[in-house]
Amino acid sequence: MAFVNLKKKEVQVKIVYYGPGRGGKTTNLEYIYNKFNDRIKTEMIAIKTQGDRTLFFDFLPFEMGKIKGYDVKIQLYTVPGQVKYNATRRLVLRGVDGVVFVADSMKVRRKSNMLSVKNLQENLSTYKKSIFKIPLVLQYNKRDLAGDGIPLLSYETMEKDLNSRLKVPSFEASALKGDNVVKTLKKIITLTMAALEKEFK
Amino acid sequence: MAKKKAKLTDEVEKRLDEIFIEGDGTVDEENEPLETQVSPLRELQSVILSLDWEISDEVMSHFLDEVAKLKNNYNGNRIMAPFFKMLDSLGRYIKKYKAKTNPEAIKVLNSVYSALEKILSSDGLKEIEKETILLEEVQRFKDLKREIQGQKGVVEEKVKPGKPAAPLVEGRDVTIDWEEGQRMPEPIVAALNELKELIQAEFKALREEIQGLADELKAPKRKSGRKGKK
Repeated sequence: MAFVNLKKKEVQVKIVYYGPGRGGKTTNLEYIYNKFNDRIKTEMIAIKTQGDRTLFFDFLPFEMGKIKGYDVKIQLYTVPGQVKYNATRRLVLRGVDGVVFVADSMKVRRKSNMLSVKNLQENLSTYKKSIFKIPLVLQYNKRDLAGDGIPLLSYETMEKDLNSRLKVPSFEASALKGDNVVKTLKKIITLTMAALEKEFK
Repeated sequence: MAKKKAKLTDEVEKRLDEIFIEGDGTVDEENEPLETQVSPLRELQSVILSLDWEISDEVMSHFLDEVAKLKNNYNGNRIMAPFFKMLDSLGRYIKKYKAKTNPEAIKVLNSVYSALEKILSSDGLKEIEKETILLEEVQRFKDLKREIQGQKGVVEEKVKPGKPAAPLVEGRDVTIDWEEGQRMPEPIVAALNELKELIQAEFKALREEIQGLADELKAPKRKSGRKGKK
């Protein structure tokens, strides 16, 4: 749950980018950091292995300024996508307020996407959170690969695989090129803030 | 209530618009998807892109099938055939050793693939330029082969006695027989395994420590009444 300091009138919102390995979670954050660094004035922390894979998590905090009299601070995290790091993934999910699920559009990654959603559901349930209730946005990443002739899953297939029960907002995107990266971020922040307001009422 | 919610959402959206002013390459939803270029390497490229730490039998079999198909298509092409031989050897090696694969093998595989793609997609390349690219890749491949065979020293070339090794550019000697005992020397394997176990143990301990700290931070402070047994 978001950290609220009534005395300081401060709200910290935690948003986690989740999804299968090499799906583009870190690339989302890197795009935001590189593109808007002059405005968000912050540092991105990334702990990577030699092969450029996320080992623990990436962390990108920024301030949104005052909203309804409260200083709103957003913290973006990614989880390591590799199957073996489930303990770290679960740990990063602790206290999460909103989730962006970054799915890989490549046909060969279809199964990984579905397993990762299932894994998200399981890990959320350890904190007594439901995947059907938490603010969630799906991002179908790597759409730019269509230009390279890579076989991709169609939007409809991805919706059927991942969103038929969740029925949450979804975007086709290219984290590498920045297509819909910001749109995804704006959506999850808006949904999360609305959910938090409802929760604190 | 609904009015209030809308107000908050509006305020959040307005603030987000101020911070993340567009021009960020947002996709125009009405745009048609990019046209797909038909490349003979399309499927192969896709499999190579999907190779990561989770190298599975399924992915590698797919890779080898694709290479075999292309190998057949370019059979007799003296520039292209060696590329597929190298990819085939690398694929078989990676499939066999998976996580224990020499890390360089994936790099060499990517490099061979990129060179192959370059040759296929550049119509203007002269024959001599193609040969140069091929030779560079063959050299890289041979270096890897030598590295993997390691201290074993002598390279067991699969060349018939009395017959000189065929020039690599003709692609007759780019096969690594991963099956026939050309493995890393035992002490190196043992040292690598030991190192791997040590790193795994370290990370496990670190993760547990972080988990413990996080639990400690989250848990409400309780009286520390229980004393340790002596």
